[in-house]
Amino acid sequence: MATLPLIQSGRVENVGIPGAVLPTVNAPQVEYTGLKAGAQYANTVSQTLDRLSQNLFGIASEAAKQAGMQYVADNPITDEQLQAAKEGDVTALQLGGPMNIFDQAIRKARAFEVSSTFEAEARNELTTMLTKVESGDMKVDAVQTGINSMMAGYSKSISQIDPEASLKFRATIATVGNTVLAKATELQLKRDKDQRLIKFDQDFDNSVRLLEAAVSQGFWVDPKTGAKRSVEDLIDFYRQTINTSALLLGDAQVQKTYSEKFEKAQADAKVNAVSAFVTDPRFSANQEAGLAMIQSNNLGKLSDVYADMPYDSKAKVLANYMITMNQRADAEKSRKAAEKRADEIELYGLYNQAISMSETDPQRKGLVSKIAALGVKNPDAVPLSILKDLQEPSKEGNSMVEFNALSQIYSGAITSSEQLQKIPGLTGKQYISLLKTLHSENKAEDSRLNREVSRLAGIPTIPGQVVIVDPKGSAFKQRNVLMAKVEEIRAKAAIEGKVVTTEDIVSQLETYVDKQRNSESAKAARSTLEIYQKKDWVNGPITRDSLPALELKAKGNKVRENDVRRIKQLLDQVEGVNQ
Amino acid sequence: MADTSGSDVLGFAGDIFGGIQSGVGAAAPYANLFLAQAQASARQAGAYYQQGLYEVQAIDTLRLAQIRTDQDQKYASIQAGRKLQQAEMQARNYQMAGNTLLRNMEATNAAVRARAAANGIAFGEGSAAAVQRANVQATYRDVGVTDLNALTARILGFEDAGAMILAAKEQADLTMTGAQTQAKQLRLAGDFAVRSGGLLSDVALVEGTLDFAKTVVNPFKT
Repeated sequence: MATLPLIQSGRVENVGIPGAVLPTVNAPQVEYTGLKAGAQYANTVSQTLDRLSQNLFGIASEAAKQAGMQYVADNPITDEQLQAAKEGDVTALQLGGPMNIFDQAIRKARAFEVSSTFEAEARNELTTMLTKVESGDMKVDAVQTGINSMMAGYSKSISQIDPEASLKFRATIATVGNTVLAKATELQLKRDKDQRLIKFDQDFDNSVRLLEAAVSQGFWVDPKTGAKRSVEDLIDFYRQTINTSALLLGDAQVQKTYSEKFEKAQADAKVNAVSAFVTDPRFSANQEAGLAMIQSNNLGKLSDVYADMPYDSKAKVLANYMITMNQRADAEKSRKAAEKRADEIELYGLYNQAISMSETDPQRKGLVSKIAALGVKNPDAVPLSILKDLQEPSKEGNSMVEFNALSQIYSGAITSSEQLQKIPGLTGKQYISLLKTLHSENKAEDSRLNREVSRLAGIPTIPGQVVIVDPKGSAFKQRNVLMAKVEEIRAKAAIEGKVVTTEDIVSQLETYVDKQRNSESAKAARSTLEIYQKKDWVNGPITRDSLPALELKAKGNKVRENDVRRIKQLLDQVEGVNQ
Repeated sequence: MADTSGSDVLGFAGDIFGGIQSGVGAAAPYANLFLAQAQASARQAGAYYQQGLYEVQAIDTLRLAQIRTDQDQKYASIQAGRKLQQAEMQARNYQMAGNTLLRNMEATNAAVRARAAANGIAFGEGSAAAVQRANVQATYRDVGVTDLNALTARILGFEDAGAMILAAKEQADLTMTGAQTQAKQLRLAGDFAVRSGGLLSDVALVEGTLDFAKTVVNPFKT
């Protein structure tokens, strides 16, 4: 059977349903500029108003502050208010509340006023404290307490007015107070150190004294063992002790200084001990022998000490020894000179008594015996010529020699009785007179009077030069007259119980001489002298100074020589010189 | 001839400088007050400029939104037309597929008859006729599907085109509404700018007056 084509259905499929088209609808973005601008506007309004408010408030605040300051300026703080504030009561200041600007300004101003016053008072108190500290009347603790209590009291009062001012006040006073405190501490430390140093110094001196005592023994007995030990061991012990004590003071310089002082002290102690030992008269009666003993180190108990001494210390010992020996010799010489002087004073007392008596007076013999005994005791004080002259009381001495010897005593050329004894031509009487002048306590006044008398007598006086004067001449006679006048003035004053000075005597002598020069005879002599002045060979003024020249001119011419003699007489009359 | 030493010249220059300095110092408060007034006016003017700027921005926003919505709607209309055309083309294609099925059926049944005839079988009777009827039935079942598909394509095309038109309409509404809102915001911002400028202007004037009062030296005070 034939196969017939058969169509099968299902060759077509249903159409696929695609997804529905989803149209996109986008909501546009809206920028809410208006709202933002509104918010920004509100913000701007707020900020602007705030700024404006601050500006206006600042002006108002400044005005309130100014008003507060003005109020304080117009109403200054009274003494009562200040006193109350000092005692911690600030209610009288009427400060108001702490929030209001006007009140705040018042508080600031009042705090400034009170703080300034308190600062001034605090400075005063601190200055007082500083003075006390410097004078040692106040110590560091007291200063600290004083500053703290002062600061606490004042700042407490100020803090009730204005805490900031209180802090400033505290800072200011703390700064100043610290200066005082630092000064007090420094002084206290210095004082303490000084005290320790003084104690140490005293201890040092004591140690040195003990050391000197030990050194002078030449050895040292150890208290523990009882054995004799070298002084060097003791010196070492002291050296260590002083070194340790000095170091404890905490000052290296002190340690160094005292270490050096100790070395010097121990060296000096040795020198002193050995010097004292060798200068003791018991060491050696003879200087040369003592020196030999020292040089041979023969110093007994101090031989070891001396042997260990350095060269310069030994030199010091020798120098001390020599100085002491020389001083001792000088003292002996002085003692003898004083003894001789006393004997000489006794001599001229005895001599004056003796010569005032008659040669037959038994008392005179006794006095002569005493003088002789004095001569035996001290031959230097009584020259033999004295005893010889006592046998010849009427013998005249050489007045010119006596005059020049007196001048030399006054000028200092003659200073000892030995020099007087060597002058030839002096009688015992003259010697005693010169000796009296030599031992006079008032030599300067005597010398002056002597010069004045010589001047008035017409004798030239040049200190230190020997003057040649004719003992028989009118000038010398006039001098003797004036000297007698001096004695007369003195005797009269003694009788009247008056004290007569050199000036008084010279004054009276000048009056006396003037009176003589203005006498009728002097005037006549002056007129006559004028006639001589007109002579051909003279032809000029005639004075004592021109007289030697006239004498030369007249020499060999008898007429002129006679004229010169007459001129001299006339000059004597003019000058009031007694004939 | 006058002697003009260096110190004289310096002293003269110093006097001139001092005079200028004191003059400037005295004039400064008045200058500041004038500047404050100018600043206030400038701030006021600035505010109005700002408002104008916002207004222009609002107008532009509205205009651009209108243009954009018009364009969107036009584009959506074109797209919807194209969508409908596409759906119609698709429906035609399904109809053509049905026709092809029918032509195949006719060819197949011709073959059945030919083969039946060739084999001496009556093609209008019996099995040959049954086969042909079955072929017709099977083909029409498929043609029914293609018809349905064509209908479906048309319906979906209408739906999509409608949706496009609707979306464009809605987008236009939204865009315009947004633009109007934005324009309102800009105008509001302009109002605030004017208010702010006025306030700042007043404040500048007040501050300038205060500074003037603080710095000016009373010229009438003797």
